[in-house]
Amino acid sequence: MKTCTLTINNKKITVEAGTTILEAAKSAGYFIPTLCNHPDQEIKANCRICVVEDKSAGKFVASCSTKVYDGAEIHTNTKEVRELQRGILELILANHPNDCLNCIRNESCELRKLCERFHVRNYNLAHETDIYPIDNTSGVLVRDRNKCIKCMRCVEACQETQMVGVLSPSYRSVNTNISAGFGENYDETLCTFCGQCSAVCPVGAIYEYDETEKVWEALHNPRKHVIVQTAPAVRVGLGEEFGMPRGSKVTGKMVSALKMLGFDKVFDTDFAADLTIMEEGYELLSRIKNGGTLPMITSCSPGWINYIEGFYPELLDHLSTCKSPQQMFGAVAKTYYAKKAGIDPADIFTVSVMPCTAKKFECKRPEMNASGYRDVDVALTTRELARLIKNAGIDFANLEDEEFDSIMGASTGAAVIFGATGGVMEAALRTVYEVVTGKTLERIEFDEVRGLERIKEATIDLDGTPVKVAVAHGLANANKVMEMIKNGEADYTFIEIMSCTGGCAGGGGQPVGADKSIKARRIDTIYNIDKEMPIRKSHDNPEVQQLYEEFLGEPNGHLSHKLLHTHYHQRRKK
Amino acid sequence: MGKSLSILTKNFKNINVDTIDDYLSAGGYDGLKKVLSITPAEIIEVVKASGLRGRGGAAFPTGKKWEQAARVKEDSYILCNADEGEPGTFKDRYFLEYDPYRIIEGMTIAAYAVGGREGYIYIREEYGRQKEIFLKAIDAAKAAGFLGENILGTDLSFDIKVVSGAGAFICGETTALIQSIEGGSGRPRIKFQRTAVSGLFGRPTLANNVESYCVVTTLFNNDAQEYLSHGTEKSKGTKVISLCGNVENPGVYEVPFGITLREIIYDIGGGIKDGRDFKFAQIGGASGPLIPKSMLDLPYSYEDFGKEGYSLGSGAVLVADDTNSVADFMVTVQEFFVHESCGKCTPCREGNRQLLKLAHKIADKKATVEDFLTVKRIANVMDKCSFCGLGTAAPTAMVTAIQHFYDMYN
Amino acid sequence: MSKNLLDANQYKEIDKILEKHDMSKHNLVGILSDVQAMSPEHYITKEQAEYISDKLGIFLSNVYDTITFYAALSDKPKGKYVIQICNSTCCKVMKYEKIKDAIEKELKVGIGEITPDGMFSFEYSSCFGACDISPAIRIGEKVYGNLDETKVIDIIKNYRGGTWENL
Repeated sequence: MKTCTLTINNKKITVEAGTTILEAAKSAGYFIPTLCNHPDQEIKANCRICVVEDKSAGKFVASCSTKVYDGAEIHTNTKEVRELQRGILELILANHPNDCLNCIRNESCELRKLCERFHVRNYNLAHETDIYPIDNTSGVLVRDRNKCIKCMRCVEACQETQMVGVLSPSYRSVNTNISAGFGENYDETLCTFCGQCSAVCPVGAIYEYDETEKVWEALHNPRKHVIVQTAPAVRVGLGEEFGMPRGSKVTGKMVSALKMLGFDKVFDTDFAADLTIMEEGYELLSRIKNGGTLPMITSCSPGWINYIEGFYPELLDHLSTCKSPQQMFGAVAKTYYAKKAGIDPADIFTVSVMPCTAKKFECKRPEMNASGYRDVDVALTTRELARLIKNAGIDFANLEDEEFDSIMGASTGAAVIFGATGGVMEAALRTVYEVVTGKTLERIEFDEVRGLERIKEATIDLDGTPVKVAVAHGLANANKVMEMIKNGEADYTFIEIMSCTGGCAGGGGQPVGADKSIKARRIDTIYNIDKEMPIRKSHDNPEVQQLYEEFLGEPNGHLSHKLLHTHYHQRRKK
Repeated sequence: MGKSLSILTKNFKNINVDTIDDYLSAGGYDGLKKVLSITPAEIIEVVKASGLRGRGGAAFPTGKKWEQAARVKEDSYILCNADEGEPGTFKDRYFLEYDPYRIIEGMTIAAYAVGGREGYIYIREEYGRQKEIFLKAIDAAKAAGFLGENILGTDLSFDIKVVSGAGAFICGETTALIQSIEGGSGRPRIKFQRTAVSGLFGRPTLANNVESYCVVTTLFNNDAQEYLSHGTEKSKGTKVISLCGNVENPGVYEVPFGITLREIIYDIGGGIKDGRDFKFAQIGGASGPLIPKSMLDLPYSYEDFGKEGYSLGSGAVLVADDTNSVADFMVTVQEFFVHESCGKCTPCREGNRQLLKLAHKIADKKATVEDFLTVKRIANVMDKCSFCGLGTAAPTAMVTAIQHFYDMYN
Repeated sequence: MSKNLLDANQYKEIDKILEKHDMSKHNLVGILSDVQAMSPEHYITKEQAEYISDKLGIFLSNVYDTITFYAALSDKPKGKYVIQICNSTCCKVMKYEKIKDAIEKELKVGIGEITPDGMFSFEYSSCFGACDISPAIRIGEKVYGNLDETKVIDIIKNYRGGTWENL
C-alpha cells in the first residue's frame, strides 16, 4: 500500500496514497467544514466551504476533491482559511430564508450547525431569497426550493442511487433550482416517494409531509380507539432522535413512550411481518408447485412497488400478491381485532410508525380498504414519532421498558430482521425450509443474504433441491435485477427487493444524516435483537397461529386473499 | 512597432475559402508536410521552444500540454475550443471565416504529434455562418486528401466533427465544453486527472483554442521565422487581438508581443473616435482588468501584464472614452457574469449576485466605504474558492476599477 | 398553454431528427436545437421533451435541465422573429441603450416581451462576437451591426414587410 506523508496544521501524518485532504485531516483530528460532501456519494466539490490552504503549492484548494501528496503542507485554520470559509457560509446565508424558528430541520440542519461553528451573528451581504412555490401536493414529501443550497445531493440520490430521475438541476446562475421539469410536482411524476432525497438533504429543502397533528387529533378524540403499530427498523433508529448512540435498541422505551402518548393499544408491525411470511411463503411454494410466474419478488417495500409499477409494469406478475406488513396489519386490525375486542371498526384509528416515507403513499392507495375502512389511517415516519414524543415532553432516554400489547404484538426474530436488507428473504427461508423439508433448521442464520453488498445471491439447499435467490437494495440495483429478468437472465426463484440501501434500516423516514456505517450499526442491532428473541421463526408466532385458527383459516385461503393480498397496476404520470 | 502585422492573419480577407486552392497557393499545408517528415517529439520541442501559451485566455504553455498528451499511449481526442464568448472578443470568428484551413491543419499537426484520430471543434451557436464555412472547408480538405484516411499517403488518419454550442459562455471552459459534447448541460467537472489523461468520454483529450492551433501551423511553415522574429524574450511571436469600442478602427489585428497599449489604441486603432478622450480600456474580455490612462504604456506581453498581476486574457482590447461611467460599466460586467455563471458553486453563483448588487449601489452613488471593502472580500472568496476560472476571474474588473478609479467613481 | 400538441407528423419529424443524430444521448443539444427549429415560435414543448426523453432513455428532468440551461433553447414560445440586442461590455460603450430604446418604441414592447401579433419578441443577449460592428442585434441567425436608431427601425420594418436586407 502506497503512502503519503504530509503535515496538517504542522502535525505530521502518514496516510494511504489517494486519500483526500478532507479525509486525511479527519484522521489527524480535524473536521474541515462541509456541506455538499456525503460519505456515500460522489465528491461534488460545489459548496466550496471545505477550502484549505496548500502552502506547499501556494494555493487554496477544496479539500474534499484534492488528493494528498508527499510533502504537502496543509493549513485548515489560518486566518485567511477561516475568513474564506466564513465568506462562503455568509454567501449561502444571503440567499437562505431566515426561517429557522419555523423550520422542520432546525435541530438537525447542517447549515445551522455550521453557523454555530462559525459563530455567525450577522453579516453585511444583501439578503435575497427566492420565491418558488412549495411542492406540498403529494401528501408524502414536501419540496421547498427556497431553502435549497444547491448541494446536489438529492439529485445524485434520485438519479444515481435510485435511478428514478425525478430531480435534476435546471436553469443556471442564480436561477439554478432543483426541479422535475416543466413545473411538475412530485405527485405529477413517477416519483417512488422513497424519501432518499429527504434523507440526504442537509437543510429543510426536502422533508416528510408531517401528519403528527392528525395523530394528536385522533388521540384527543374520546370516541376514537387509537392503535399503533411500529415497524422493525424504527426500534433501532428512534433513539438517535434523543441523543442516544446511532443504532441503539429502544424497543421497550418506544412502547413505553407510545403508551404514555395515550395510544389505546401498542401493537407491533413485526406481528404482521410474521403473518406476511406465512402468506408469502405459501404463495411461493404454490408458484413453484403449479408453474406460477417466477422469480417471485417481495412486495413489502412501497417505494419498490411504486418503482415497478412505473418503470416495469410489464413484469408486475412477478410481484408477490401479498400486501406489506403495514397493510396486512391494518386489514386485520379493523376486522379480527375489532371483533375480538368488541369495538366498532369505524371507531378504530390505525397509526403506523415507519422508517419510510412511501408508506404514506401506500396507506392512501384507494384499494387499501379491505377491512371496509381505511386499513391504515396515518403512516408516520420515525422522525414524526420523535416529534410527537418531544411535543409531549416525554423523557424518552430514561424510560423503563414496556411490552407490546396482545393480540397483535407478539413477534419473532424472523420478523424483526425485515428491517435489514436480506431480512425478508431470510425470514421466508426459515419458514419455507421447515415447511418444505419437514426438518428443523440446523443453523437458523442465512449469512449469504446479509450485508450491504448491492446485489446478493445465494443458492439454498432445500434438503437436496437447490433454490437460487437474490437480494437487492437501492432502486438502482432493483433496476439491474429487472433488466436481468427482462433479458431472461434471472434464473432465481425468489428475489427480495428493498427500495432503500441497507433496507428499511436506511429508510427515507429514518433519522437524517445516516451513512453506510450508521446503517450498518442499525442492521447489527437488528440481527442482535433476532438472536435474543425466544422465537425466531414466523410460523412459530403464537398470535399468528391464533389468527389463523380463529379467523383466517389457512394461508392463502379465501379470507386471506380478501384481506391480505392485493393487485398492482401500471403507474402513469398524471 | 506600431503597425499591425500579417503573418498569422495573412490570409484574412485575402483568399477564397470556398475551395482549398488559395490556401495551398499561400503556403497552406507546408506545415503539415514538414511535420510528417519529423518525429512527434521534435514537433513538441518546436512548440515548446516557441513559448506558445494558450490563446483562449488561460495561457497554459501549449508545448507542455502537448507533451502531457503525447505521454499518454492511447489516442487522444483533438479538441478545438471555438466557443469564443468573452465580450469584446471576435478574433477566432475571423479565423473560422477567413482561414479555416489553418485551423484544420493545426489540429492535424496535433493529431500527429500527440497521437489522435478523432477531432472535435466546438463552435459557439452564434457563429452559424462561420460554422457552415468551416463544414465546407472540412469537406474540401477531405476531398483533397488532407483529412480522412492516410493523409498525404502516410499512416496518419484524422477527421474532425463539428459540434455546436447553444448559448452558454461557461462552455468555453474545457471541462464544461466536454460535458456539453457528452450531451446535456455544460457545467464544469472536477478534474481528478488532467484532461490529457481523462477528458472527453473519459478518454485522453488535447484541448486548445482556435488561435493556438493556427500558431502551431505557422510554426512549421515558411512563416515560422518571421513569426518568431517578433515579440519579447518571454512572449515570443505575435498575438491576434480584437480591438473594439470607442476607437476609429475596430477590428482584428495581429500585433507583436511587447507593443504598448498606447500603440495598439492610437497607432493601430486610430485613437479615440469623435475627438473624445480615453477613459479606460478593458483587456482580455469581461474577465479582464480595467486599465487607466496612466498605464497606457504597459507593454502587451505576458510578463509585463504578469508583473501587475494581470493576464492578457482572450485578446480583447476594449476601449472606452470619457462618455462612459466606470460605475455603469461595472454593472454591465456584473450583469454578464450573473447571466453566464453556471450556478454550480457557491462563490461564483452567490458572489456574482452580490457583486451585481454592489455595482448597482456604487452606480447609484449609495455605496459606503464598507461596501467597497465587501467587494474586496467577496472578490477574494471568489478568487480563491471558485470551482472554475469563470468565478475566479469575474471580480477582476470590479477590483481593478476600484483600484484605479476609486476617486473618479462617477 | 402549449398549442403544439404532438400530432403524428411531428412524431415523424422528431424521429428523423433523432435518426440524423444517431439516436445518441450525446447529441442531445443538437437534437433539441433541431426540434426547436421545427417550431415557428422557436421553442420546445413538454410533449416533445417527453418524447425525446422516452426515445433516448434520458430522464425528462435532465432534458428540461438542458433546455433551460442554454440561452439558445427555450421551453416557452417566442415571436416569429426573435430580436436579440447585445448588452455586454463593447455594446455598452457603444451605447446600445439608444438602439434598445428605438426598438422598444417601434415594437411597443419591452425586453422579455412578445408583440401582440406574435411577430417579434425582444430580449437581451450576451456578447455574440460582433463587437467590430457594435452596436449589434441578432434577428434569428442574422447579425446586423453598425446600427443607429434609423437603421434598426428600417430593418424591423423590412421584416414586417416580408423582405429583409443584410446591412
